[in-house]
Amino acid sequence: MKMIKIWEMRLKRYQKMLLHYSKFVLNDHFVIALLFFVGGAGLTYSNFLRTLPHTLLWWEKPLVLVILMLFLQAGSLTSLLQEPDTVFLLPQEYNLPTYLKKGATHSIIIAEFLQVFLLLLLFPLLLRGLHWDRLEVTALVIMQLFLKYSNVDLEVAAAYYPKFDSWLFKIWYCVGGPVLAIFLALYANVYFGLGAAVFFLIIQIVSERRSVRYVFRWNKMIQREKNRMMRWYRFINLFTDVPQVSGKVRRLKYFDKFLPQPKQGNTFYFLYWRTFLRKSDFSSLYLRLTFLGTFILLFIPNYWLSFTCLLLFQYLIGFQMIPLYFAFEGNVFMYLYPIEEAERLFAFRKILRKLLFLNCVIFNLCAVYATENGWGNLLLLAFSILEVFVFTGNYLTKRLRENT
Amino acid sequence: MTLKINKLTGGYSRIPVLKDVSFKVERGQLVGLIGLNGAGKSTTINHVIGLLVPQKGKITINGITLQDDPQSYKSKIAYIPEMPVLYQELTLKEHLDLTIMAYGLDYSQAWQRAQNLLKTFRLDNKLNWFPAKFSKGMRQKVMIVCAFITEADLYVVDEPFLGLDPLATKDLLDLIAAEKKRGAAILMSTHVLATAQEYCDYFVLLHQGKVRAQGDLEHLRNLYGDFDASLTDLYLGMTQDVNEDD
Repeated sequence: MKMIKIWEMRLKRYQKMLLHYSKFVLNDHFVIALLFFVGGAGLTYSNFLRTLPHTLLWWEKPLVLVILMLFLQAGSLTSLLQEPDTVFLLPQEYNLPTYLKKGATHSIIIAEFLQVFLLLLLFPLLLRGLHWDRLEVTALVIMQLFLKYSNVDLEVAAAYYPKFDSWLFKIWYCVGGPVLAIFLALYANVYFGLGAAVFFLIIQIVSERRSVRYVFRWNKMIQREKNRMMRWYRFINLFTDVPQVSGKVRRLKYFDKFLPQPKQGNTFYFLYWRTFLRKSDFSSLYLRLTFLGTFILLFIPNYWLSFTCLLLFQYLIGFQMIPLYFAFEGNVFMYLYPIEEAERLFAFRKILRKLLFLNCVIFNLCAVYATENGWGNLLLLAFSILEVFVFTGNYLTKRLRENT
Repeated sequence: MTLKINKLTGGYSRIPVLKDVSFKVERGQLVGLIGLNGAGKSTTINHVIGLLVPQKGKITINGITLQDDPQSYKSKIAYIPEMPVLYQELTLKEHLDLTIMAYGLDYSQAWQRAQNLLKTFRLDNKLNWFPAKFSKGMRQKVMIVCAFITEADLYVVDEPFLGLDPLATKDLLDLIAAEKKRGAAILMSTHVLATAQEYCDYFVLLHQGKVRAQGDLEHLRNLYGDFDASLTDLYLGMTQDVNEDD
């Protein structure tokens, strides 16, 4: 009874945490960017479907197979176990199966909903590309649901049966089985695939029943849950600071010669560049966003869409770099150094300007390549340079003041 | 160079931790700030370095308060915190470079001093490492080196001995003695009373946020009325009879 109570309390707290952070993730900038992205992607998808001929192309089925396998990776066991549990919950170990069952049910429901949602995105391709009828598509959905169920069930089983965690088992149950089922569904008949999925699940459950049960594998399960939570935190950390994630620090000795050398009056310039480069929070975020922007701009031939996306991306990258200014908030020496606050702002502005100009050059080159709009490109260049100056000028001062 | 704390009342919230604290640290003097956990040592230090604003009273260095001229006030202080505070992403060499820049020191002279200090504390072969990953004692040594290259007028040292090996403890005490001779004022909080008794010139005994007694060892012994008492005896004796008063 108690264990169920603990589960319910933890679930409530977990959902509250996600809700709390969702406010930061779904901030207005991100939602606007997302709308553009979804709009662009949707347009590209529907254009792509229109170009498909009535005959089947050789790569369509393999593509669907890969996509279905990727979909299967979404969602995993949410056990909400925590590190101190090894000490505090040890006396309740005999009750853990009831706790785990709750967790498994919850996880399976969420994972199956996610499958249905993802598969909905694939419907147009299945109907127009593979020329399936509705019944066949429905059968495919049910097959995916069975496969996902086995997937989560295997994770639960691994809590007590170490052999379900071995490589051989994992390759068979998580890769071999699903690939075989999907392959049958695509190349032979979708109902064969469905049958195979059900058959594999039965084998799995029977083999679980027949295995020797070991004691609960605390460390393994807690490590798993920790990794799962870290994935969340790392994602959320892209938008706001999460205390659990302090980015990795890398030495990157090779770049030392490009960093500013110690010079009088250069304190913060010296410090910020090093922090930016070596703390993955900043440098890898910058790189990721720059790559994403480059990639998207290369594939937008429409001038005005490209125009908006470019300015939006520059803004987003600048906005995501603002936390760098506050990177040393907890450090008492920031208050002790006999330096004026103005020097800090000056140094930060200089760095942000350099970073954004680099983006400006790369993005404009991409836009020129993709849109080929002579005067228009020149106009865009002018606007993006103006944006960098406005962003790193008054806007930055205002933003920083709001944040302190 | 004098640090003067005059009728300081302050703390973290409306309810003051420190009540009416007054004492002085003169040129060439090592003052020990003595007290139990929670007596108000760190709070006093946070007020001195300017992290906390006095609710009442005044703190001056050579007559200047933090409000008068923050830059000049801060440039006179070197601080060694109880827990080492380091930049995760800077190497040892870069920590020293940063300190030199932040305090506007002469680059080559400061590095000369740094080399000597690094050798003393056996850190000279670790210049390109990240000190944030060192052990507590080694990180503490990094803080000591960074503080002592500044040749500040006032050193504020919070519990410096915890985690230091005996050799490093001795080296630190020698260093403090040398700085005293140069004319620096040093305020050191500690509860390693035996060491404090041996090295400090003057003691401020804090208890429950108030100065219970202050003076040199002789003066304190006089007050207590026992001429052979050690600092530990004095401190325990004096704080206990206060407790009985309550």
